[in-house]
Amino acid sequence: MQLFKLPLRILAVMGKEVVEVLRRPRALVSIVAGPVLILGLFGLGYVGQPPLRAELVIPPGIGLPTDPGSFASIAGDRISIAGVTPDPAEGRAVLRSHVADLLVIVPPDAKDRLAKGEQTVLDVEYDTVSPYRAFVARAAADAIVAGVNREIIQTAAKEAADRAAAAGQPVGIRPEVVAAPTRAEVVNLAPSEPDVVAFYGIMVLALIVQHTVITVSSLSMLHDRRRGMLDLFRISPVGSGEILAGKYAAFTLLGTVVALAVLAILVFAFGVPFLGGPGVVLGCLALLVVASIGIGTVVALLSDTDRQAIQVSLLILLASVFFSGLAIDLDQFSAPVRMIGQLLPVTQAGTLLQDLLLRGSATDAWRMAALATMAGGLFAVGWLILRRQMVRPA
Amino acid sequence: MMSTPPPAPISPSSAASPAPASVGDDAAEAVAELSAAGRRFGDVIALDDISLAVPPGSLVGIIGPSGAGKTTTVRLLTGGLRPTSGAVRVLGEDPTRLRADTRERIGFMPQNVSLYDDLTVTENLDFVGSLFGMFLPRRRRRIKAILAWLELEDARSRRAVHLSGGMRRRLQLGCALIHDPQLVFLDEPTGGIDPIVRHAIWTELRRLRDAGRTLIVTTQIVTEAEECDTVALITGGRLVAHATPEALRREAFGGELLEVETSGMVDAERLGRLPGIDDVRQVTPRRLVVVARDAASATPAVVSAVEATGVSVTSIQTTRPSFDEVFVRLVERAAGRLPGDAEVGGATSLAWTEPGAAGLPPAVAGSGAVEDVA
Repeated sequence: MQLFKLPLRILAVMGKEVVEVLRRPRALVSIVAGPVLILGLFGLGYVGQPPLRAELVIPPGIGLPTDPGSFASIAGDRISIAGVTPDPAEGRAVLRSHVADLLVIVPPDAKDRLAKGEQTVLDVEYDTVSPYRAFVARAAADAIVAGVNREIIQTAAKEAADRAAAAGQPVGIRPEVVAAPTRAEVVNLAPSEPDVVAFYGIMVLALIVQHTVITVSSLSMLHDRRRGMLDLFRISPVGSGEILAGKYAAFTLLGTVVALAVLAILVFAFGVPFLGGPGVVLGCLALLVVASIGIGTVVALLSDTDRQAIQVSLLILLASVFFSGLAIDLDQFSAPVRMIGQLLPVTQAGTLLQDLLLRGSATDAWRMAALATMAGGLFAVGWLILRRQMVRPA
Repeated sequence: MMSTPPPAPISPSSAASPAPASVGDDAAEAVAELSAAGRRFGDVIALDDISLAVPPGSLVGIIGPSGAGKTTTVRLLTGGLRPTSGAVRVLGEDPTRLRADTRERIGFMPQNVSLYDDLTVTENLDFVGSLFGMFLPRRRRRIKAILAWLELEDARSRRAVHLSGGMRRRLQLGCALIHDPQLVFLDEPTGGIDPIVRHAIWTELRRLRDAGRTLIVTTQIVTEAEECDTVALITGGRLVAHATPEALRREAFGGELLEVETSGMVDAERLGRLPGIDDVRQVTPRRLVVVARDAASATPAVVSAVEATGVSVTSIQTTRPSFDEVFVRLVERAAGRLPGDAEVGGATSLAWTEPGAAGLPPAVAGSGAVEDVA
């Protein structure tokens, strides 16, 4: 007879959790609309890396143009020429006022040195404390120097060709080829080439789902304990496994619905490709939700207060931002830290979803198994702790 | 008030003859039993060597001052705590390892209101009923009966968070009884409830007792002890008394009290030597309080003895101290704050330690039936 009552109890807990969530409109708004809003802001607000603004110092009389537009081909797409000045001091003032990000100083003797066959040094200065912007500035400096070198070589080759032609000698290699003997034709073999919003939006979706589910599931368990419900559960025939099963069922349902809603916005509003099978994507999302419920449950069972649980949830969010590959690629971390990142459901689910949606299949199929193992393992841990707290009284 | 028929009859096995609870019933028949049970929290002794057997079909009150150990006792009985010494049995099993079938026979109302605020009254009852394995048809019947009994029908669709304190407490009580349990633990069920509803609840608890259920109820409202078959008084973690309310009253004051008013001064010592009189206190020159083993049989002897001295009795009345007074007296005695108490002939006798109200409960002079023999 007790066997027939098992689903009754599980459904009771599940129904209670679902009704409780639906009865809190503000909580519902924060659960559903919150992630959508964040994602919307991310999608609409992200404009990408703006071109680096370079100020050029070109001394008079060295034969280089002073019109900023003349340097457009050297600068390329990633660099814009903020202005050209003959005075280094004026150029530095522009740099310090952050009108320009980069100052390129051509020395007054550049032409003479070139004529003598000596190397000319271009001074490149930037003013930033951001390691990222410093990195970009250095890369831009290299690109500018390469562009300038190319222009000089091309000019020199053209002059040589002109002289040869004037002397009736045959012209060998074209100046453009002399200046740039090779060029790259780049082809991406991936089935889709999403923009930044599409690529990172998927990871943001995974992060939002993980954090929301962790928070809701941990608060549910904490509220049960704070209200003294564990005392009622302890005296009632309901077992710890039934309680967890009911909670898991409720939050898996709610979490998956939220995840699908956010995914729909990604696909239909932001044009994220959906190349994978819907079943696999749904399975991946469900596993992410289940694993996140597990984290929330364990956090709640090991926390003494709501505040402590929320703090731990925020720490997990912070760790997820840094170590999931969302902000910084995981390859840039040492092996132990990478391992921590791999232990986060968002790392596995986010990478899987990126592959499933953007490639159509999972490059690393083991990630699905890892996610399933996390989900199962966390359920087992949560069940053991709850069972211990219910069966073994203080 | 709360007059609707109470919960459904219990099963035949549990409906067997609810004999009035008596102290010292055979422990083998007890549905709940503490055997020299103790509970420590670190160095703090919350309960010390408590033995208590609750026979089936009884209504047992556990009273005591705040922090006395009442809730700890209930938590031991409901499996929320494990005793650090002694043993606890509930329905023949270790309460920390009850079988599911056994759990379905137990109801529990914790001291703190344990409700889901966002669920309605009906949903809270339905949820708890489901936890206790009640299928839908039975749940519906029971919810209807409980709502009617607790007068919560009009609030059935109201969320628990919007209920008044008293209504929440009543709903909590309904949750404890939704599955028609045979053994019910109620931890301060009437806390925060107005006197009218409180009275109705006790009426219902007695009715449940009469139907064969066993109820163990803690309360800080000492006068409620009189509603119980037996009362276990716990203070400082120790069980200082367990008896019927009347026996506790006698124990507190060493017997029954007679208040005597005379036309002149009477020799109290002479009255104290009368058979059946344990103590006499001269409150004022013309007023005495006599502690008698049996007030009714002692009255003629007291009147005769007074009048034999040439003084007439203007009034003599038995007084029945309130349970508040009984409680205070027993607790103070247990705490050793009544140094003059002495054992007289196997019964505890009052020794008035100071004039006036110290040894004489305030209500003594004004309560009880008046028998004017002047």
